[in-house]
Amino acid sequence: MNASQPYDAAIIGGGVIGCATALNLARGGMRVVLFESDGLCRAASGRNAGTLTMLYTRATLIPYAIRGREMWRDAKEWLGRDAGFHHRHGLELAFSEEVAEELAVQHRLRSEAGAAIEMIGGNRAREIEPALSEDIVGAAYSEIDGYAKSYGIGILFHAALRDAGVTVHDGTPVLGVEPGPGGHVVRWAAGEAAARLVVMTSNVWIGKMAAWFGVHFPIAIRVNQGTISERIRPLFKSILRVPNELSLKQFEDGTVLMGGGRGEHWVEDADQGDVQQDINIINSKMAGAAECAQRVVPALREGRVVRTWTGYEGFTPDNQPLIGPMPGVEGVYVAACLRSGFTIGPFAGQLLADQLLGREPEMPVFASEFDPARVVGMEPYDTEGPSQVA
Amino acid sequence: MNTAAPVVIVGAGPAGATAALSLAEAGISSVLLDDNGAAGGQVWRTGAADLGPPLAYTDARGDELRRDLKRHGDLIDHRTGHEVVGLFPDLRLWVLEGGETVTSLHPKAIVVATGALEVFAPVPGWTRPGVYGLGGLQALMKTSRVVPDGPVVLGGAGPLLRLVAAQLASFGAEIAAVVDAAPWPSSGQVLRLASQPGLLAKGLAFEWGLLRRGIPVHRGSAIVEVAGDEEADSVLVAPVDENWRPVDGPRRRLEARVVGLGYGVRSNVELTRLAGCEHTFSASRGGWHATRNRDMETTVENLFLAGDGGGIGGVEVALAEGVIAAASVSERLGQGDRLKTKAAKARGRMVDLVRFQDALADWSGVRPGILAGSTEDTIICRCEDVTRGEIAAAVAAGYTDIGPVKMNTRAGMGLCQGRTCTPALQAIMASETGRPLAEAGLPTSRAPLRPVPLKALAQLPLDEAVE
Ligand SMILES: Cc1cc2nc3c(=O)[nH]c(=O)nc-3n(C[C@H](O)[C@H](O)[C@H](O)COP(=O)(O)OP(=O)(O)OC[C@H]3O[C@@H](n4cnc5c(N)ncnc54)[C@H](O)[C@@H]3O)c2cc1C
Ligand SMILES: Cc1cc2nc3c(=O)[nH]c(=O)nc-3n(C[C@H](O)[C@H](O)[C@H](O)COP(=O)(O)OP(=O)(O)OC[C@H]3O[C@@H](n4cnc5c(N)ncnc54)[C@H](O)[C@@H]3O)c2cc1C
Repeated sequence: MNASQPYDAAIIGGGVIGCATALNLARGGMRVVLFESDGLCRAASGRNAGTLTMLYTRATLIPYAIRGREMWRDAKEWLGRDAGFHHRHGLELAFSEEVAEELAVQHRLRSEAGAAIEMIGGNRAREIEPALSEDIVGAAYSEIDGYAKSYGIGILFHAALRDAGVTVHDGTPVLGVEPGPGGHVVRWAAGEAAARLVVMTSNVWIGKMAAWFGVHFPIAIRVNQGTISERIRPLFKSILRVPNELSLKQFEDGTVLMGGGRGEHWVEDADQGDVQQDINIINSKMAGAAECAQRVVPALREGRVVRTWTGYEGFTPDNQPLIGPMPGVEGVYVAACLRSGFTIGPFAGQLLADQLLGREPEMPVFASEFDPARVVGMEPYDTEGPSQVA
Repeated sequence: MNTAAPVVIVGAGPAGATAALSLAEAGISSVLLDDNGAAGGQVWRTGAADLGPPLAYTDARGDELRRDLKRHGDLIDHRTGHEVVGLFPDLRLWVLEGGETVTSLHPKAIVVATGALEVFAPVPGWTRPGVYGLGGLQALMKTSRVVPDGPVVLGGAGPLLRLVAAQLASFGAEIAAVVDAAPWPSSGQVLRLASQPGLLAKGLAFEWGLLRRGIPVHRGSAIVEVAGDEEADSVLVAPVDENWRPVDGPRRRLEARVVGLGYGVRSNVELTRLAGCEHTFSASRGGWHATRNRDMETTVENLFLAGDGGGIGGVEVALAEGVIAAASVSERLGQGDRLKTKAAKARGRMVDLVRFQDALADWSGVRPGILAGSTEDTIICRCEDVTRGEIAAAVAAGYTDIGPVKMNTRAGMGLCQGRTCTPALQAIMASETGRPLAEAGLPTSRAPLRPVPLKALAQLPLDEAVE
């Protein structure tokens, strides 16, 4: 293979979306190179809670999430490796009638979008999940929920990408993309590569990349958090969540993962995380998660917390993803800031690849509500507004 | 309880206790936190009273130190069973009491004196029942005079190896052999060690204790496997090269019911990492430790560091640094320079002590070869059951820094938070990437350092936490 021969596609950002896109493009016959600043799936894609849920997915994204979840279930088929998928029931919990009513309204939209979500009372919730607190008065219930292993996904992708012939440049931050013969030139510290198409799958870093083209995307960067317990005797099986506070699950090894925590935490620049993340908020969210977890499953009181960590999520002004062409730049595409991005990621990568390979995608991917151009000039997401905690 | 004390000292070993006592001398009160039931740290660890005969090769300074702390009880609030599980850059501390409740302290100055951790080298079979850390075996003797039954084989390097062997032997344990990765010290090394005749004499006394009892010492060798049905019943000993990597050559199998392993000690950097101090790697000081200026202050203002936690120096250095740190704290608090002369003397003592330490490290400081002496199937992280093969696979997938490797394999992410496996993990990564040990990096530490009950976390004062 001629090294100076341009690649058909350069993918910038090796999270779950970038990896899945690269994999599908290569399998579709393209010569693909993937750039990742750090290690594959080391950012949000390796730090997330791994929940494959309908209950917290935005209604517009429900059909995509259903397919994404199936793809994690069938990971052996397309990734060549098991991804630790487990089917679980999902329950979003209400401690008051008022909240139960709010849940009913929100979930009606999701149900209309294809998610089988049912409103149930507290007793029925406790039948499904006996560990639940007596204080729970109602719940939204989805038979379809579950999780996949989120850590270690990068190792799986690495092997699959290698098998598919993708050139992976990890530990390689891309510094810029410029027009070049046959398309574009992707530049990094130690070299450059020519590519016909460029796909930017850099999530919270998409704002920085758009600036290379003089395009301004208003992206807010939220710090999400996970807190894990030591191994505890089996207490509950369902995936539990408390609106605007917490997601809760117990893995087979007995550890309990608490996702989120009360309060919002935002930074301006993901590359300045060390100084911009506020340890007091992180601590307070961890404590809040612990408090909420035992409110939901009282038996957790005696469990012990081992560790907490953070990761970034990108928010667009309208909270819909950016998927489509980079405004005004031929041959450069964006797929970023996708809510429930771990769940949907593999499917998003497949759809995007089909689109770029000139095939008919299974579902619309360059849809107008995802079109990156729409956010240019919009006011940024209101970080002071009502909480959107996953 | 005086929660408003301006100074908190973490660790009541020689360094921390000395810092507290020196401050008391200057009339400054402090809170002295330690997770053990009594002061003394590793070297002067003790159990309940009436333990019977004293442990061989120990001095009386531990008892003196405990008496002095009690005598200054008006100024030193020594809290036993208090473990610091969080230390943040603004000097806020989380303290876990009796494993049950967490409180938060916010002093003006902190002296971290958390000492050292043992260095383990995972080899096939090292997780079998019957295998202990040298420090663990020693702690059992120190706190309850428990001596293991049956043939004991001890493997590792450095002073602790022969000290523990000599102590066990003096209590009648059946020491079948001592396996030392280091060769005999060279004449140049002996000459440099002789710069501290007292310390060298101590070392020779351990050596003599072994010789006198006819205990064989296999030098330039390491235990490369612990075999047994379930429990350990034998070890395999192989020669090592100058990097302590097991090499081909005559191997011997030795019967062993109890196996003690330990390749020296390294600084416990959990708290200084958490606080955001700058760290550096120095092979002659046991690897990674926080950097400090000559006043023992780290790169975080008003956070001081004394003793083995700031690079391995041994008891005498810890004592001297405790004094210096106290003097600096006193000045910082505007409480005068009453400790100045004492600190100057301590500084004087340190010059020679550090030279001795260099010679000691040159001879017996851990080399990475043995830390990476595991096989594909050897479990490296025993909390999360992660094998060497899994770590190698992560490195092969492009994760060449320790953080990503931990994240992808869960190594070091279990209950002990990497206290046991970190040196091995670093050495394996260095070996897999072909980079120097220092470049494998240092894992981030996160609060809580120890598991904390959910109910305790939930009670933390959050008012101060959220803006
Ligand atoms: C704590 C937490 C919990 C979550 N829980 C869930 C959940 O339970 N379920 C769910 O569905 N979703 C969850 N999410 C969201 C989900 O993780 C993300 O939506 C998803 O991982 C996004 O994938 P991505 O590929 O878009 O981005 P990322 O994984 O963020 O990847 C972007 C990559 O781009 C790279 N990059 C950036 N700039 C450059 C450059 N200049 N050159 C090269 N590379 C670059 C970055 O290093 C990064 O690896 C959670 C997120 C967090 C943080
Ligand atoms: C297992 C082991 C055994 C040793 N045995 C000997 C020996 O017999 N003779 C010898 O000369 N040297 C021994 N050493 C070397 C020893 O490190 C030094 O000689 C000396 O103890 C150093 O004194 P220090 O005050 O710096 O630390 P240490 O004596 O280690 O004291 C530190 C103290 O801080 C406590 N601590 C640590 N972290 C926390 C926390 N987060 N919260 C609260 N408390 C905390 C520890 O439990 C300990 O009591 C040993 C080292 C180890 C690791």
